[in-house]
Amino acid sequence: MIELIDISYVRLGTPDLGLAEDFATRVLGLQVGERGGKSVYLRSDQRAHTLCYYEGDPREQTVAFEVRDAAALDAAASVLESIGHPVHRGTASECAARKVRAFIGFKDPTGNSVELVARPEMSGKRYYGMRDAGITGFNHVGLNSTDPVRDEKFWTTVCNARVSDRIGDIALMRVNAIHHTLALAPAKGPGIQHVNHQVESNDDVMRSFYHLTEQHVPIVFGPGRHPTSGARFLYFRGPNGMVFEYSVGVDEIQDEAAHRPRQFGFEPTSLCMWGSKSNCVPM
Amino acid sequence: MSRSDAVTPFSDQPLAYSRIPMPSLAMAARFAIDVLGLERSDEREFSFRSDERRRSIMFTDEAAPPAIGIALADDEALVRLAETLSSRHISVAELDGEACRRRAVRRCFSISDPTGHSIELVARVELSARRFHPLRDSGLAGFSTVGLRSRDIDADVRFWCETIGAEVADRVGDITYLRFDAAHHRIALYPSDRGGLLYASFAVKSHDDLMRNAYLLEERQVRIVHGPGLETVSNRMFVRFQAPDGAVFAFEFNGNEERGDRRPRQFALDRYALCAWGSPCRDVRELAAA
Repeated sequence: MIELIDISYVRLGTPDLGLAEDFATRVLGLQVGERGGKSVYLRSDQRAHTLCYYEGDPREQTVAFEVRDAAALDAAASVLESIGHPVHRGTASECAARKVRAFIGFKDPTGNSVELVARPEMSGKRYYGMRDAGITGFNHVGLNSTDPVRDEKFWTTVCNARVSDRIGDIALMRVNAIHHTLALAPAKGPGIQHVNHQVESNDDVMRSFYHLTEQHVPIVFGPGRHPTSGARFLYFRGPNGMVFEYSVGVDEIQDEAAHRPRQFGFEPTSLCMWGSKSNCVPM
Repeated sequence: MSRSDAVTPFSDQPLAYSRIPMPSLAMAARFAIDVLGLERSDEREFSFRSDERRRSIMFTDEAAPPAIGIALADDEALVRLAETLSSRHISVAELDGEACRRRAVRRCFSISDPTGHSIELVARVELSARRFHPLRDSGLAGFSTVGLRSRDIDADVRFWCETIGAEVADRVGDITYLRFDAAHHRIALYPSDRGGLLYASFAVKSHDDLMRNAYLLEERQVRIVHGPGLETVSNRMFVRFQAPDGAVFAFEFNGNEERGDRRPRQFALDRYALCAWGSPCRDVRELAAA
């Protein structure tokens, strides 16, 4: 079984790097860690980067998870190849571009681009956002799934994810105590459905709601509260249609043995217990 | 010294009730049940409960002046205050038994503030022995705060503080928040060109209740005029909205309330001084920042 320790970064292609950087800093509240020739590395916490925009096709969307070490990476590669998922071993320059010591890339059953990384870099500099958004760090993604039942099986049997709760057939899965690091979203094809950053408090969620509204950033869901994780959230749209989320107060599951995933019906109140309606998950 | 430590003349729920004139009492009653989440206390009269008190909101004929009830600690405190007011040549009228019954209080003196609001000083506010259980899951914890328009802020503040015994909690521009007990404030005075009740606000039990109510208002197409927001001076969450006739009501969550034990602060009047989250106010002149 592939042991995922944590989520590491997201890589997004974009035709307009300047626009993406402007949104990521001025609107979202991330900090530029480094600029390459055709890429920008954005920070949200102690890590060297958690989001990288690079000049390219916006349909190229990659999510990376950390594994324990190079040996774990090799083991993962064997597992994936043995079940028929071709594995790309990152070259030296590709590793440098991701600020990791080693990585492998593969496609999940839906066709999402996933990377497993060893020794991702941390930064000695404290994260400080240009905008007072209260960000504490990159937390999780929603990942498209053309077959949530099949994909849940992949993430929980080939990898070590555990289901925390389900909404209809959509699994919210954890790889550590955090309620979910990976949420499957029903879709017609691969892609990252949303990118989540945690913020310090509900006040930050609400301040951002009014600020983003005033900046004419499309709000697609919220402000609301997930009954599954308990988190207060806000979803909004960024460059190339990517949805970003701020949230706070995600539950932790401490008792691994005892936790039983709950089943919520596939309906709006399963996504928001306050009554807000989503424009980004078809219901 | 905090308000709750000092010997105050007020009861532990100083804001007893509000009597609100409405053009259509039947429509007001429907709004009270369906939107505000109150419980009708009497089929024959348009009076409503919001917590253990027998009556906290009374709708009256349009011609009647709006009134708020201020509860004193006991009959002695009430009579003492009435005598003090008389000695300062403020006109005090004791209401009769029937008027007291309608207000679910045992004793009541009516006076006017400088702006001309009807202020009813009362003692022994009646509680109901039956638990408050409205038809809608509103999470209400009780009628809690009012906003009043003021034609002369200085005169009104002097009246409330020097005559009645309230304290200034904080100010935003000339907007003045008045403290009567441990709560940040019970009455907020807003400079205006006219008098009247600006809003009547009900506390709810949790942050979730506040947000659920906000989305319910949206769903019912009730016009939200301010919020959901965070009142900066008090740290109370709020959502203010309009009844069909234009009267403004609010829900508030005061679980993380700023309680005073300090001198009043002065904020400049701007959007963030009225709402720390930055929610804009629509349509209510007195709440729209300069």
